Amino acid sequence: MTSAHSAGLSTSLLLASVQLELLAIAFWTVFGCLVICSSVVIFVYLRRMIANRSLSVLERQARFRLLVCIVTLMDCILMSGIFCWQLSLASFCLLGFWGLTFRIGRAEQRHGKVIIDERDREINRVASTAGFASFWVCLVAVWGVALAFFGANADVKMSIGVMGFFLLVGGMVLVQTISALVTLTMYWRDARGETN
Amino acid sequence: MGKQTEVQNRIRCLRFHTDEMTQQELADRVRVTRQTIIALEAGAYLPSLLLAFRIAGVFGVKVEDVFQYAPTIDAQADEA
Repeated sequence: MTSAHSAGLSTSLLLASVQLELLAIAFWTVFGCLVICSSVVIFVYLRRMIANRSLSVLERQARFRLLVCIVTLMDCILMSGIFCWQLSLASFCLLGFWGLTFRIGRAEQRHGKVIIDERDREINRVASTAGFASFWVCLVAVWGVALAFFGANADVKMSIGVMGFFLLVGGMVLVQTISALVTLTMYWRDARGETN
Repeated sequence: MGKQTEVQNRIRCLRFHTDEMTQQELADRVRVTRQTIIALEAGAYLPSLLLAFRIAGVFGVKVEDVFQYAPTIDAQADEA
């Protein structure tokens, strides 16, 4: 009776480990494919933004940052549909492509062209302010909702890792997305009367 | 930025009277981007004093020959 019980236990343990391995293989396959496809899309768009000289450098950089955000969020949604939401957070590694933004406009700068002037600086200042202000508003809103939902004297257990991740990565995505959108809106409103 | 400013300018007119200078040529000479010249001509951007002097210098005219103050009805009401 005991040996049969232990044999059953070891079989279920073996099955669980096989399941875990299969899940890991499936995760790395799906994640790898998504990262490769997303990287190709991002690099193609980056090349287009480097070559496009008709738009201002700040506008092209904003477009690129926005594309990286969109691709990352799409990957995250796709991954959370296939796996659990914790595993889908791995797609936020794509945000590292923001680091390539500096390449846009570098060639013009090397040729001695003005890439950012007083108007661009003003737009950048307004966009950054809007981005950080939206982060602050969201933070206060989340705090307010939590206060209203749980009450002022409630004790809420929360994982430091998850909270830190959402605060840092979520905040970064929010600030970058809002500032990129504001930048694009301001350039779009000014882009009238384009002649030679 | 975006909406029409209370300062009108004759940049486009002066460009055409200066050997049909292109927006890019003017932008290079006053050290700004072409998009800023587009926004200036459209009246969507008010330049700094320094940029206004640079633009006037390129055309060889006074600043007031390039930029004119033209208050809107709202601005006049504010002043009153």
